[in-house]
Amino acid sequence: MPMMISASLNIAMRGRGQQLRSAPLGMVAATVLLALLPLTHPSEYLLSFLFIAFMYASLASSWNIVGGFAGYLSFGHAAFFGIGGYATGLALLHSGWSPFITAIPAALLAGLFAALVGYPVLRLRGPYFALVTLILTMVVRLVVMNLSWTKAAQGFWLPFPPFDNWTSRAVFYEVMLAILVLTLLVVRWVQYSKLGIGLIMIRNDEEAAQTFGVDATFLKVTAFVLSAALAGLVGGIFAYYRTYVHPNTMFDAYISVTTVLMALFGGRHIWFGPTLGAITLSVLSELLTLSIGTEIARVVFGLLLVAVVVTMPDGILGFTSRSARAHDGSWLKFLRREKWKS
Amino acid sequence: MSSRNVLQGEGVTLYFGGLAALKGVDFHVDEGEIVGLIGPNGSGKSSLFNLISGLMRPTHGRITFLGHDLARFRPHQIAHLGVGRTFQIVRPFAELTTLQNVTASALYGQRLASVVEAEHRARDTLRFVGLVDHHDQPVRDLPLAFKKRLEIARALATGPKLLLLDEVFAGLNPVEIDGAIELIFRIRDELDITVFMIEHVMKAAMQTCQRIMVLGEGKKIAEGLPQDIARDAAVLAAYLGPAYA
Ligand SMILES: Nc1ncnc2c1ncn2[C@@H]1O[C@H](COP(=O)(O)OP(=O)(O)OP(=O)(O)O)[C@@H](O)[C@H]1O
Ligand SMILES: [Mg+2]
Repeated sequence: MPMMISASLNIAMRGRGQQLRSAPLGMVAATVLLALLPLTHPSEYLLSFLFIAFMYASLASSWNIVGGFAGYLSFGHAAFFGIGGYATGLALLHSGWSPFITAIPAALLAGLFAALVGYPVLRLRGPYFALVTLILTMVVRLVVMNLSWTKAAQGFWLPFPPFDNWTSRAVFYEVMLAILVLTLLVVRWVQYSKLGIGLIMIRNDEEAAQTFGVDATFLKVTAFVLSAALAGLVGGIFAYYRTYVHPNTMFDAYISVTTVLMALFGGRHIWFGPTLGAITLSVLSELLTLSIGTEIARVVFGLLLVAVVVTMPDGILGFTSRSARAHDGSWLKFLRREKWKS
Repeated sequence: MSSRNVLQGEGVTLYFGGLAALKGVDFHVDEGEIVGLIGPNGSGKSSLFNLISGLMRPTHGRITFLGHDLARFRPHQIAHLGVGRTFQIVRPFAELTTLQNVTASALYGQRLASVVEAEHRARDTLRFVGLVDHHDQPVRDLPLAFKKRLEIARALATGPKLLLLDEVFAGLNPVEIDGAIELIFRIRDELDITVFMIEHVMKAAMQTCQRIMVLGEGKKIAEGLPQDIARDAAVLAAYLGPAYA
């Protein structure tokens, strides 16, 4: 297993400089092509499928800032997703403000919440951290369930976006694509920034890292806030997409767990790993459902996932790059930018 | 004595539950010194280093570094004040190469904004400790003697004024020990860094240190010049049992 970690790092840090340098170009090309997709007038079904796939790709990528880079496996991503969803939903309900705008302050709210809970929660490690983040989501859900101003257990409906059905799907598709691109840019920046190097130090040995001047608490909370804000943004758009906001759909442990599995599946140590995992798994799951029916598909899908996570602890990227050799042991080779902000 | 006081401890006491790892230890290290800390297994040596680097807090007592009361600082701030340390059991960042390990340490230890600059300084440090030819090696492939040097390099890369070395000779063969002793002298003479070192290999400690402090069951039982320590009755008793004293 350590060998595979190193292999995936080869990509991230030293080897495959070529591949890495071309990745952003590939990203620009992919973004442009995907953004033009609605011009071919695809079905609502395809647009909806891609919306959800991009949503999970963004969630898995933002989760990875804490779960992958810092090595703190959070099972509470849905808490931030839900807070974003409720904030935008309530803003639309009470003030009529469009979620396409209020999703931004809602994301900041999710980030603020992460800053508050981050200090105590990020003191925990390993299974304790995982468990507490899971419980955190349940607690937030319970609180929302019992407050009248969040419409308690009834949830609430939102007005439909002012478009016809197809246009609405196309608009949501474009917005989620933009959010995914934004997420990837942030995560990629984090990976190659001073912050990212600090998070790798924390993942390797938090105590030793501190003796080299790493303010572990500050870096972890910063990562947690970034991660949460991006999830909140996604949650805000999702609430509008669903037009129905309910504690069970917004604070759904299934979302947290799926996010973690997708990131693990793709590869946690590389910025584009979780996106790869999310897209692959979304397509796979959809194909299985279409071919053998929902129920059997779930079982097959679950088993497959377990098999992959057990046999490839570093995800498909870690696995395929095991032969990656060329490196010069430096961080600089693939980092073109000279100046780094902390 | 001669020069400025760098590190000072007064009545330093540390309890692990009911077990006293350190009991009222007074100590000091002056600028430019190489001070040794010896004592039998479990006598509290590494615990004292954990207190100085802030990873643990004393139950009682006070430690000051260059006049700063360390109780008010967290471990990363103590590193920024100028305390660098190595760990008895080497703990390099296993996923990274030698150069990346030292770069990371320079980046955060010296609060640099640029990875380019950090890597530049890391290469200088690797050259200083004689590891520059192994910069691209994943650290888990390094032999122990190199891992120990890497441990020193990472601490040096933070730009310390005081270096705490926890048993850097342990597990090395005589030739490697000679090389390490030479390195420690160069650290003091060329880099002007004060050294406080825990040592188990008595002979090596005698050769390197100008002053030695001895811990026995958490108490300071002796302190003085190496040749005096070697003859001290309390020290012999602690190491070999009372019959030999
Ligand atoms: N984290 C800890 N929790 C509980 N007890 C500890 C802890 N660390 C050390 N101790 C105990 O404190 C005492 C002093 O340990 P310490 O590691 O400081 O000794 P040492 O002098 O460095 O020994 P050695 O020469 O074996 O490295 C020992 O009895 C040890 O078991
Ligand atoms: Mg020890």
